[in-house]
Amino acid sequence: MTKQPATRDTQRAVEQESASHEHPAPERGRAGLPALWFGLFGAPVAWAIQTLVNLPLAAHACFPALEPLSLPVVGGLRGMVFGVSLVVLVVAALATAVAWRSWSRTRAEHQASSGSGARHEQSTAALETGEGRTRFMALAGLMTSVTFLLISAVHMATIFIVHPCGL
Amino acid sequence: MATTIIDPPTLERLERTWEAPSGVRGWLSTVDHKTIGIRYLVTSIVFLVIGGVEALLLRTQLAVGGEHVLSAGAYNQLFSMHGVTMIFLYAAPVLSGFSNYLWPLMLGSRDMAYPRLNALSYWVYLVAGIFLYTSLPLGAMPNDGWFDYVPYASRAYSPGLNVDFYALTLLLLAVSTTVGSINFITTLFKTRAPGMSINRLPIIVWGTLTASIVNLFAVPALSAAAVMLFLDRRYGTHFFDASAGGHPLLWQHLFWMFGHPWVYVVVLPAMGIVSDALPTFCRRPLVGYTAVALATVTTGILGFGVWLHHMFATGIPPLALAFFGAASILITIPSAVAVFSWLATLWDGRPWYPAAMKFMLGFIALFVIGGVSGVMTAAVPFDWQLTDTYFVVAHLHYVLVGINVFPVVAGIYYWFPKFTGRLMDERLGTWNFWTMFVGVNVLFFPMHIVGLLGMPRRIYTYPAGLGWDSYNLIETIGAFLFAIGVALFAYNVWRSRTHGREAGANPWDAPTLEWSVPSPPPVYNFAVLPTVGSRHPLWEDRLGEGSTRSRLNEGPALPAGRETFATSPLDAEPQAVMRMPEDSYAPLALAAALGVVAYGLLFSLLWLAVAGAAVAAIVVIAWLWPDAATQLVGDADTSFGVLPEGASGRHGVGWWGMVGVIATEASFFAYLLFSYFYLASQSLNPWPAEGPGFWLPLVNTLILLSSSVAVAWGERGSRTGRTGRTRWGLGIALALGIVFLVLQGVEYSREQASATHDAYGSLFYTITGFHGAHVLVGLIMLAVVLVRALRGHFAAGRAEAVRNAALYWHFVDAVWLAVFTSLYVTPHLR
Repeated sequence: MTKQPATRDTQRAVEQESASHEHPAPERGRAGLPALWFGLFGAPVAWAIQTLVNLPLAAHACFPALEPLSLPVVGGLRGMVFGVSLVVLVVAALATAVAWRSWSRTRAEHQASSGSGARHEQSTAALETGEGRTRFMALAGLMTSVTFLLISAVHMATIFIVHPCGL
Repeated sequence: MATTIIDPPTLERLERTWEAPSGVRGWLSTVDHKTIGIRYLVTSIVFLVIGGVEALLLRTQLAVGGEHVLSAGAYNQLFSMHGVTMIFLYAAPVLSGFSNYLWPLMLGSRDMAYPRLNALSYWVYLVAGIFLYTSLPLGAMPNDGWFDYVPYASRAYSPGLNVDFYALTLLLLAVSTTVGSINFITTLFKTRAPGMSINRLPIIVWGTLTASIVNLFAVPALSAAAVMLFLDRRYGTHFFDASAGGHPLLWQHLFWMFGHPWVYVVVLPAMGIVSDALPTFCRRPLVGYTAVALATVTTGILGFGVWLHHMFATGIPPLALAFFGAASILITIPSAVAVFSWLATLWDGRPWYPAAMKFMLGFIALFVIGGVSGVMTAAVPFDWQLTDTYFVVAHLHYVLVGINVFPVVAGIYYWFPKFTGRLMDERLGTWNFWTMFVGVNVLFFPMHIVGLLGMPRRIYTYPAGLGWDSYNLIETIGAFLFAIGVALFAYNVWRSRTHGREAGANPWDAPTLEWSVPSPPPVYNFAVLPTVGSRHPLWEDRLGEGSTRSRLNEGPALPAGRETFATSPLDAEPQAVMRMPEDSYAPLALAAALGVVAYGLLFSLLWLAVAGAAVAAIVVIAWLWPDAATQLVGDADTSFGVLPEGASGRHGVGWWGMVGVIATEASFFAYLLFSYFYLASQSLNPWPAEGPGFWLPLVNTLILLSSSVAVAWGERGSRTGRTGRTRWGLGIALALGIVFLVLQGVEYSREQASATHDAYGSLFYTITGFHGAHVLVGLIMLAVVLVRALRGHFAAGRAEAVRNAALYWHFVDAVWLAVFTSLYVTPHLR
């Protein structure tokens, strides 16, 4: 790289111009940060709680001391695990809805600035780009929420497939 | 490349400001992220070679049945050291090397947020490696595997220093990893170039960020386990002793709560290397940037919920296993997202295939094979058949060699021109790739088969004629072929340093910021701090991408000192001009002091450990004492408006660092309390046999809460410049904290439980003892800040140290509430 001398005035003018750059998240007013964060982490946190509550319940009920049991020592184990999972699914679904709302309100953010990505259909562009910061967070939240909604649903499905104590 | 509009005197001033002193002085005191990054890379690859030599010895022993190259004891030490070396001293540190070198260059900054902490992270890592390998001349290398299961690792069955070396090494590495992680997190959120919003980050940054956050919450599990193991072995506690209320599975839970997230720590940044470098060779952006970034984060989160799949064969009831089997299968979703993104990028791009690209394609193939065998072992019944067989050895090596070593080699081929200014030899690179790729498959693929045939892992020999012989011989041949590949790579690196073709700034025509500066980069990284307008600053013209054009050669130079911008976490809006610290010996001195503590504990030389700890405390205080370079001096008039010199509150890096410390410390206590309730749930007897006192701890609780009120009152005063109030608040809190510790001592003298009688006593004293130690650290912080307040160091809005010390003190009090509720209230609820 070559270096050119320049006057301090020139440098100052250049610096002033650089300050006028367009904001990376012009649509940030259309999706608040609480909604974006909830969309991103609502479902994962709910899944974490589901795991941390259901694991000790399921493990302790069938193996409370030195010997494994054929039936859970806690009555209504499946009901409890199901109840916890149901609440978690509701939270994950809520997070999905919130993320969807944020996404639908900001999906056009900087879309025109997405270069070659903007030439694609909107559905393809979702994968290709993400130039606006709000749009990025909303889309990311949607993906996280759907993924963890699925994981929590599969977690709940095991209740109907596997006998708690295996006998 | 456009020209940089900056006058030569300014450039000279930048050079003088950022240059490390010459000679040994500079070598020992430098905090330059590029130097530290290279040190990480070189050191970790040296450990890779050492671990590789250990593996060759193991494979030589196993080449044919009934071999006697190694004794059973030597084999146990070597396979343990191979695992510990590769997992802890190579796989993660090598990725820290890339990130340390590249982050500030990719993010458009002059250095990491905490340059000295960066140096500390490296030095402690080096000390830990040296410490571990002093076990070699003593003939006492760790010998119970890299996951070191108790009761094998208990003193009764492993009486030498072997396991003690292991436990103390892990604690040293925990320090290194934790401070490094806090540094990465703060750097990402606070020191990006203006305009680099979080949707414009390179994927390796997402990978290292995720790994760093994972570390903050996962490493404390290992630290807690290592502390318990060391106490059990050396001081007669009973955490893992089933005969006294402990439980061996507690070790497994804690180890894998750390261990499985750690798998993602050592692969996510490596996957990031591929996500960033592969598009360059496809001459198009990565397909599905958002999905890949998100897949990285999602994998990191899910990694915390699959630890039990390492314990499928421990007798845990089926429904509990099913939860984890399901999560372990579904974690393939984000991995598959990344794989399909790479394939789509290849499909839609115009790929070319230099050595770096060959290694990335090899990585994708190995990743898929390792991933598929991972899904197979996620199915509980299948896992029961495979546990402790060579099938698992095949799986984990496909994962770790495939997803770590191959991307690392690819990354070195890719960024070597940036590191050195020269390209690596491509012809040698092709030979290098094929020997490694063929070697790794010849080495590890037959292990699947021999595992299905029933060959258990960790056996030092086997009788001939079981149908395993030919597979083992082939594996050994593969191992040596792979070693030849690694040797070719090392030779290529060595030769290309001086004989490689000159690279120029951007030999691959790559899109990210690090390629906008000369190769190798100047000490100050950027002559002017860039302003970023898109995700691919160097491809904007051809892609037509970005809300505006990036400015890479025009902008503020900030030549007044070691300065860079502090920017907002999401949108990277400039908030302040940060003064970065100068070079310092403190990181080296602190690392050395920690090493002395470790040797003192290892050899039961308490005086040595105490001396090391005292030196460490003095160094920390000297380190944190403000110097002229970091004094806050007013405001700076920049192209982004008038910005304060030095940031405060959430704008400042100090707040972020303290939050990181608190997060990881809180996790440490959470794992201790988990251990308490886990052992309580497993106890056949009342837990505890006799409850602890209640009223004195209650009084102590009120005292500690009062001290928090005093600190908050003083801290609020500091915000408005009422220094008298600050002094009084800190002084009162200090006095109350001392009273708390005295009363804790009184309570101990009355307590019936004993740390060496049963697991309850061990946990009671460990948890309250660690809390007491945190109170002591908090008191030292308050005392130092009080002295500074008395010396008039603070003014309105310029009292970061007060704010951060107060934050820590509130955390200590919050932990006490959890401890008080768990240890003193719940026993009375029976």
